[in-house]
Amino acid sequence: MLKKIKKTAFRMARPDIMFYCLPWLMFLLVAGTIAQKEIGLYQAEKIFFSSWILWIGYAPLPGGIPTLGIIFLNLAAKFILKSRWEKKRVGTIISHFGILLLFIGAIFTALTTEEGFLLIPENETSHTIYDYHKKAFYIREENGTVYAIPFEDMKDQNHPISIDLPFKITPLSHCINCDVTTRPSSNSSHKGLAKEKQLKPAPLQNDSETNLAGVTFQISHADDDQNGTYISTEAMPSPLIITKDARRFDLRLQRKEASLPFDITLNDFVREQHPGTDMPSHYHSDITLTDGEINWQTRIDMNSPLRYRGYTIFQSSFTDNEQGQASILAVVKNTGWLFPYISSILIALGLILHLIIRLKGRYD
Amino acid sequence: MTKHTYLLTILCFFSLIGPALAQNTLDMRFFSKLPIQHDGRIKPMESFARHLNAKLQSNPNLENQTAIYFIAEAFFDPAKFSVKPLFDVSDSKLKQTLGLNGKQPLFSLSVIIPLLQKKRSFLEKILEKNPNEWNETEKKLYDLYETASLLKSVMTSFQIFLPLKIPLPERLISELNIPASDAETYLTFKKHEERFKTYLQKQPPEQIREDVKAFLFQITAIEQNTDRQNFVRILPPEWPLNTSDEWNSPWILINTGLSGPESAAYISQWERMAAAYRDNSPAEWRQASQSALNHALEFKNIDTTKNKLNLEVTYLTLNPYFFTLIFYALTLGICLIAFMKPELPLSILGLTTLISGSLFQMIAIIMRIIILERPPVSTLFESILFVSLICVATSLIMAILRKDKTFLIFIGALLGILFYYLGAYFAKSGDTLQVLTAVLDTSFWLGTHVIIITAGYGLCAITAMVAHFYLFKCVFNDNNASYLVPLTLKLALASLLLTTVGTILGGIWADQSWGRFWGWDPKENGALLIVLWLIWAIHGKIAGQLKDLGFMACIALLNIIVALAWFGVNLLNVGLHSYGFINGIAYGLSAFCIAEIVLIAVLTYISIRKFKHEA
Repeated sequence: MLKKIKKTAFRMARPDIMFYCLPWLMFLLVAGTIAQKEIGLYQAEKIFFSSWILWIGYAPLPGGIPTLGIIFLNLAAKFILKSRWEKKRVGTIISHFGILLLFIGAIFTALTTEEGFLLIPENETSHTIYDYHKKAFYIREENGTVYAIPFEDMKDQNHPISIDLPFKITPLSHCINCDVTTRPSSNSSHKGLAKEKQLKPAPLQNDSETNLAGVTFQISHADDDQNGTYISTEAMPSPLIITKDARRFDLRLQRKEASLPFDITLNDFVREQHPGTDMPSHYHSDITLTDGEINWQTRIDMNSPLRYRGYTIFQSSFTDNEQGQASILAVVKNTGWLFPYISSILIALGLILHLIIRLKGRYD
Repeated sequence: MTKHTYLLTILCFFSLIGPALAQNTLDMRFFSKLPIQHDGRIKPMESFARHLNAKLQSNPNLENQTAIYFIAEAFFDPAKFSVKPLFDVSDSKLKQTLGLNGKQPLFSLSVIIPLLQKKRSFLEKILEKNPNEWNETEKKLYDLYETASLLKSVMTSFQIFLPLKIPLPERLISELNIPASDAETYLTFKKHEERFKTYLQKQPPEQIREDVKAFLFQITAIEQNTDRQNFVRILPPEWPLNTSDEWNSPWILINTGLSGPESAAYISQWERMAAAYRDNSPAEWRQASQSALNHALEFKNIDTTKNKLNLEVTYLTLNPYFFTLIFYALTLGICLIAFMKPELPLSILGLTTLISGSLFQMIAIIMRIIILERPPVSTLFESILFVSLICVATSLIMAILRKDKTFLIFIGALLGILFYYLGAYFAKSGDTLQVLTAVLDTSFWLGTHVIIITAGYGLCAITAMVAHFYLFKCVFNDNNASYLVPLTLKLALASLLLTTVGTILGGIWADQSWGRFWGWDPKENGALLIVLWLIWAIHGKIAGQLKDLGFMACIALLNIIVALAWFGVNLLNVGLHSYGFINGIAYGLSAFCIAEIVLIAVLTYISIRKFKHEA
């Protein structure tokens, strides 16, 4: 058994694996990049780079994950089993180790990263992070209890969702991007907006953030005037309210939420433009971070994020409307953030050493 | 008729009786250095003038007219300027859309503006559409509209102190008790406007005489045409409470009441210049423009120095790239002679001319660094300049270190010339000294990631050219070309070093700005593609999967990979690198890629056959 493993490992270390995998990776890279023009970055990433299988027609081909996985295993096997630990190979060894570290960092990042954004109007405080892509159906009770049903679970199930509520919710359909059209015929079971409108799946937008997600669901076991079929989309300005046994529930589809373990107050958002033009030259947010006893006044600048308790908070965007200015801060928790920094130093060092050794002609 | 048509009709009419000017004899040294705020920075008038001139580049008549004379005429003699045939409307569909007849290709502002006015609703419909959906005629019509509007703004900028074409009737001057000199310009007449209005209100409309009506119409036309224009920003903020760093045009300053004694004094210097220009008085013009420049440089809030303005004017008028091109062309010629007559000791001469060319290029880049106060590479145009210098410098270093100098000098000069023309293509659309978007507001990352990755592009280009030379040598030369393989391998390794480090640094910058190290953005993917291609070729060579010829052919193809990563991904208009998007190079890029693939395939095929035959 051990012999077999050893044999497999040595086979895995063969340089021709890399030689044949790299062109495929380059193909994925080129195809995935060009596809972004048509299907947007989010979809292209899912299909070409973060996929296990790439379907071209009916042909299953290796996606980004297995291709990168094989290259990683090949490099790791080569590094461990076939590296020649000699002085003149020191550059190659260091740079290969740097690349392995980069891969490990990427795995950490892929598995552990949490990201979202904070939208804070000036002089307001928030700790709620909204997901860029994931949606959820939220049921909030007046007493503060919150139930979040993942958007994926809102597809046609034909049975009520098992949550301890005094009424039942049965998902009928959902669409990632919906067209809200006029309902051709309505009956007494259609309630709220569903009396006049219905949701139809529409083609996905290139920019996934511009998709209008929506769900159609049925409420039963509530009061008679509230039982019926409803629709809910992200764009609805107010939640659907269901009351039962003197308990009030707000229902709405929205971006998935998470909470920061600290509060951020936006004291001032500053947007500067190049004089006499509409071209932005600089943004920053002056904030106060409150964490228990800590009250920290600081600034989040373009290209200069705030790092605190494993979270990195970046100046991402802003909104400016009649209600005033609000800053949009991207929030990322990435345990692997340090890997690229270390690996870039190692790769650069390794390549420089390798080049010097080559130039000196000491290489075999 | 619209307000624009009225104004232009007046201007055209009076242009016929305007003074015959020969202003090209005027000394523009001081005028060209006058500061103006444009596109977000303070620049000399020379730079502003060239920016406008570039908008009319398709007009062959403007080639010999220097931009500064062009702008002076627009400012100080708008009547003459408005009838100048400036716009090239040779496109038959555009002509048809505008309702123009005949074969005449060039039209003046006085003809174009009324026609565009008639097409206002059509233009509005075009603007409602996504620019990507515009057809060629719509694009040309929009460009024409934009340029014409811009020039109209420039032309009407100083009307407030230019002599009024329709004089205030003399009887009214005495009746209203207005000094005769105050009735000469709009600015001086403005002081007595209330008195004039009161007089009109008292008159029954039917009793207002035609000459008064004409004068009133003229005043209204000037106000309507200049009330929103703030394009020619020559006046810095004057009052201490005004914390804005936005400059203003004379009209806006007067209209908003922000004018102060300093601004008023400066405007009077401009009035003096206008008078000297119209009188075609070289001595007075020289004195007035010098005095205006001295005055401008004494403004409290002026965010520039005399040296910087001088440097920018020198950069623009000296045009160091032209000398670069001359020296590179000379080098190329010397190398070609050296190839034909190897016995002649020409390599030192070639080396000297190449060094001279690169020095001019280096001077140009240093001048840009000082003018813009930022690292050398921040825009696509600047990346071309820098890559070109890297190519030439690398070839110079190798030529100095190695015995086979001629071909390395040849490659350096060839790349220098090719990049000169590529840069000229990108520069023709106007100003190359631009301010940057907010995300690029970081000297650290511009000075590290951008410099390293573009230096990587440069090394890749020279590596690919050495590989091309190898392939040519294999086909056309009987000598063994294999001595070029180790050199190429070392160059490929150096390219890999720079592109890898540059790509990773880009990832770290993205981590700092956007919160993720890698986002599969087209620009990131392009850089990664170069790295992967190099890793593949180098490992293939070292591990033995690629023989010499295969390796060199792959490295020669690196040119295409670099071109796609450098320019191609910008055509997609996707991702966060929105500041780099470009249009209109798709055909050129495709032609380059196809030509390279065919060339390398043919050379490789012939080489294989030759090797087989020899074996």
